[in-house]
Amino acid sequence: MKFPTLAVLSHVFLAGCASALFAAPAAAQEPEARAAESGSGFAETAEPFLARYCVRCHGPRQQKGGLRLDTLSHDFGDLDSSETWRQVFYRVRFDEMPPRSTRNQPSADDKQAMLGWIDDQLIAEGRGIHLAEKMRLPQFGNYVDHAQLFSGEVDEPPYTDARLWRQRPQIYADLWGRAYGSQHRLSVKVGGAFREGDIHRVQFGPHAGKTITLRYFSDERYANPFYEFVHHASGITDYADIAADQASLEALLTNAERMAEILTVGQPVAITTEVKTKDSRHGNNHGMFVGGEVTTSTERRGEVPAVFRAVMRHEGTPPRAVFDPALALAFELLLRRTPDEQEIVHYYDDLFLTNVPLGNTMALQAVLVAVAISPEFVYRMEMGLGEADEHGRRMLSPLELVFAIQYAFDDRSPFGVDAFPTEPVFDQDVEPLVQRALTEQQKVSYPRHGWLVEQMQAGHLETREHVEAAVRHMLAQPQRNPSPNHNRDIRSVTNPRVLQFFREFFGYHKASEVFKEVDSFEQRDEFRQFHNHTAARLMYDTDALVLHVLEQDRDVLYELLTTDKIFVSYWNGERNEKQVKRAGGLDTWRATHDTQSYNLDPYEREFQIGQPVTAPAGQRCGVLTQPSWLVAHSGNFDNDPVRRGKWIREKLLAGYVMDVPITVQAVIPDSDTMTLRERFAVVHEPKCWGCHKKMNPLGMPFEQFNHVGRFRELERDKPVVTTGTVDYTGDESLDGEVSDVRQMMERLGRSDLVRQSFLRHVFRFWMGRNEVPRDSRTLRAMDRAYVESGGSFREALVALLTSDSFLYRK
Amino acid sequence: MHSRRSILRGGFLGAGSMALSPFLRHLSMLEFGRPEQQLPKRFVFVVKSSGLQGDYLEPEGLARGGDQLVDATLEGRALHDSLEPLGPFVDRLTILQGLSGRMCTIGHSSFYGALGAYQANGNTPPTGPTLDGWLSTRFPSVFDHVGLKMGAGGAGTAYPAISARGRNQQLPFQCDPELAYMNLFGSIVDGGDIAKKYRRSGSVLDFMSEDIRRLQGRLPAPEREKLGHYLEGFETLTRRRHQLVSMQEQLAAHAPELGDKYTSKLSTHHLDAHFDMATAALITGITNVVTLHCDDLQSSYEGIGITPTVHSVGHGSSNGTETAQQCRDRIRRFHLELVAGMAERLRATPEGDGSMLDNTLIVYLSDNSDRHHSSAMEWPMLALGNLGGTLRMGNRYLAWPRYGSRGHSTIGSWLTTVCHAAGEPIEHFGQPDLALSEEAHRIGPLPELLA
Repeated sequence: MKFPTLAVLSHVFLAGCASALFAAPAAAQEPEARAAESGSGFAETAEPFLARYCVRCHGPRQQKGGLRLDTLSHDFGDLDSSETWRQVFYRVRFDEMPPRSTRNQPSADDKQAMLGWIDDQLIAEGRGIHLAEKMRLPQFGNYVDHAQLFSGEVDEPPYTDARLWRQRPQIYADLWGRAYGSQHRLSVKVGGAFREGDIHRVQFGPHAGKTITLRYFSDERYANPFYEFVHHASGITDYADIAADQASLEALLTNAERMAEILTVGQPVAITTEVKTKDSRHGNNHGMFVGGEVTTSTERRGEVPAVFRAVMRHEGTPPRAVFDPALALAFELLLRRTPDEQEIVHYYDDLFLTNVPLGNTMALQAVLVAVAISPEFVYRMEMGLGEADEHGRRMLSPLELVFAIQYAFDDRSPFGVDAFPTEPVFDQDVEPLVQRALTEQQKVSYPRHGWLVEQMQAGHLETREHVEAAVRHMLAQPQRNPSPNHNRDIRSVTNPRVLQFFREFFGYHKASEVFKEVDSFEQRDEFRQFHNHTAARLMYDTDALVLHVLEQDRDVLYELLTTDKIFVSYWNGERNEKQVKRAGGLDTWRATHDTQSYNLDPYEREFQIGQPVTAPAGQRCGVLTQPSWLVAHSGNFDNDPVRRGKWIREKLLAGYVMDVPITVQAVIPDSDTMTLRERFAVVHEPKCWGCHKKMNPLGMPFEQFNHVGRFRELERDKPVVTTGTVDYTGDESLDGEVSDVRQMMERLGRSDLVRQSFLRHVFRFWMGRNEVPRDSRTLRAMDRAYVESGGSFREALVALLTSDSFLYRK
Repeated sequence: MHSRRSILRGGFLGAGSMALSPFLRHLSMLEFGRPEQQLPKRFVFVVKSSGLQGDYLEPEGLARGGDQLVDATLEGRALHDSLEPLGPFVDRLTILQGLSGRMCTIGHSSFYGALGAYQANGNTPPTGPTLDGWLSTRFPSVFDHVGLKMGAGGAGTAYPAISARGRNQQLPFQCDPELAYMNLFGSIVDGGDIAKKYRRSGSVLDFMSEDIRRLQGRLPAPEREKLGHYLEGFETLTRRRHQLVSMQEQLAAHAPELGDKYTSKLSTHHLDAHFDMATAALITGITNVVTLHCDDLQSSYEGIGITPTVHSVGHGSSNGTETAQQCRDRIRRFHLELVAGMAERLRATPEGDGSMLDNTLIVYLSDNSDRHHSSAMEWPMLALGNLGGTLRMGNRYLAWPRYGSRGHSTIGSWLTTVCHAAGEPIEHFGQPDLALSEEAHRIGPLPELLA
């Protein structure tokens, strides 16, 4: 199948037209160039700001905190004054100054200008905060003023800068793992125990007549070049700002060399043959047979494309007629598109012919390796190849849309590979069983083109309306796997990226990364249900809950924050005698059962796989009271009210908390008698409380649960105190004390700020970047769609994926 | 003083977060002092599968597993037979017993845990760096890390899941001696497939970096920068090739000869070749960190007359003439002969006032602690060298008190000790054993070992 439009993409890489696509924005000036000399721009930016907002308290009349700003030197080369400016930066940045109580507050633009000025000066002296660059990273997403995004004061047409977006690890894994990333091994055992049934016997050679069994192993073993290294606090792992680097290239090269070998001379298979001797021991299956005479050998198997064989077998230098089909197939296999004439000439003249003296096979392998390390393989290209509109924005082309929409929902490539003729590698006459294993078992097959490709070919991916229809079609697909588990993981969920968003937003999937003293839990009441696999199971429980709420698609955020439904994914509701016996009796079985994580006795309710159960009255309230979330946001020995509070501050309240200053060595005293809340009293000291006041009061209500997420009434034999405070939100209707989690979540769940904060994260996840004021229209459209549809997540997502931010590049 | 909680709070897996801040490192450097001209430090990890049995490392008259630290000299004591090859190096040999690794996965392998002290799995990416990977970023050279492995048949690059540079960054191991030779010494080979492949990789790098440069010129600034990181990778690899070409004389002087071992059908010959290459790589300075993965459960030592696989031997299979235990002893001895060969050549290479061996640390251990089916209650190890005198090691037998008793310690502390000795102190390597009492899982290096 040929895709004429695909060729357009090649121009970005090779042809000269790409330069015309980029009218380089003037703002891309280097910061160093802006701040030419220390202190410049003071009179225009800083002086008026200080005069208007600061000098009343930090000037000639008063010097609160011993600080005077009107006479502060603007020579940033001076260490003391530049350090003071740095402090000013953070105070203003984190809205601590001017104090909230004063009515005279700077506008978002004024603030931004002032901060930009300080940062420029600091950068010029090599001590910059580099705000502009930081603002591109997900952990600084909340630095954009919330009110400005939703007030409607900014109303320019949104777009995203033309960009390269590094493939995410999962996309690479899907394309690479099975086809080129597996290590193949065949274990053959001869002369084992006789069994009734399908006994195979050796047909030929000295061992003829003996039994023969074999097992084929093909484990995916390769290094994914696109490992994740996003700031752990942000949770979002796939951002367009992440670059591929040398480590990526080294891994890509290693993998590409192996791929080139597999596609030209075949997949190596290590064969271990063990023949039973009198010293062997064996049981009644393949794995139990140990010992014996071992021989090892390597064979090659698989299917080599006929067009590759033609190049390899050609006498002398293959002409274009032989080379072209081979390059076309290489492109289709790796880039899922057809090369254009210019590319063919380039690859032929500059790479293939250079390597022909080394042999045709080597030269072909060179071409394959090159394609698999090319920037197009490493980066998704979102250039905006459509026509420019009156604002100079260009819509994504149908081809770009295929990728953009597909990867918004899935990690699988939208394009498949058309069938192509091949020749088998292994054609020896060996034991029939081995022959079958090497030719029929573990065959690699390529996927077919997806639905979006058909839409594109039919011309149904050209307009915003087309995109909307496509997105709605994707969202309407029935859920294949409503209750994921370790065998049927997120990969087999319909639209896995949607579930992945909720995982990354809530962070509950990190439960198994928190180490617990599991061995000692066996003896400990309220902890006995938590064993080595529990953390992972709890994650799947919450997956099921999220999918359930999404299926209803009503008041999604409110439901996620307040529902009293739970799922127990690893129990089918049976009270199986064998299981009871294996657990060591009924009492142990009941006490250690998965349902106990939710304070339920397995005899207390009827359970059915895939069906929600109502938690005991008054105990659970949404995802934040799911044991998975609580464990993921806990310490090794205790709850972690700080991280929980920080999570709420950043994810639900669009707020921010300064990173822990490097001078702080936080130690909460250990105690056998005090509750955690009591032990945390130490952070009420003024030097700590400045930051902790934004976290602890939000995290304390979760003391209602122990650190593996079980509901409790007592801690250290004292009644648990569950009060907390919502404060510093900028929304008076939210602020105030709460008596427990439910009261807090009910209040947050109905809040505009919380909803909008959530939608900002939706934006970041799907756009792969932070929102900026220019995206205001998009965010408001998402908000409107969500509210007007009665809290439909799908509608919010449709609004985003049909927005200018998603569709346009500049 | 670092509190246990501060360690835990950071999440022990990111060595980045565990590493001392530059300021603290600066302080500790002042404290320890650093000579102006420092001789390079080298690290070799020799990792076997199926456990390294403590019983067979005990010299005559010394024990382990008590509730007191055993700290004794090896002088005048007969070593176990399989340790005989290390006889000439007793003055540099330290036998380490009794450190536990219960924070790791146990069973058939602890994977990254052996050198990382954390829970790991062979099929999921590493959650943090291992010591070899971490050191490779601190002591970089033309090749930051060289990983070589005895594989089965003609296996090429393998991922035994024992070494990682960082979170999600597992390090590859080359099984094929010829390919390893091409990577390390390809620049000095004339003719043959190795030379061809070497030339081919060069032309691919040139071709693609040209393409990237051209594309870069057409991108807006931020994207240009993004692609710049990728291009830098090409430039580094190309620079590496140039470096290797400029070192040809040195490489030719020390590179092993491409003999039969490299093409042999027997994997034991491959392992022999790997040790030769590793030694040459260290002597020529093209790397400072090497990990040799001797075998895995499917490997066969047919070349030294042990026909069952390592897995079978672990389950008690004999080779017909020797018992399983005798097979294990011989495999250990074979490894130690190779280690001794490496040590011998490093000792014969002068450096500073002494030899290269003086500034090298060779550690022999298993990726599966002490047994074929491990418990990680103890993790026996042999170490050769004292890393330029920064470790009080050599002619020494140390057995820490058994698991749970006072003074017991973990492999995490051992890994930390190596970092300190290397002049790159960190708070604690890997994940602490939460089941141990606070006193027992000492954070920081082992005072018994630091000079």
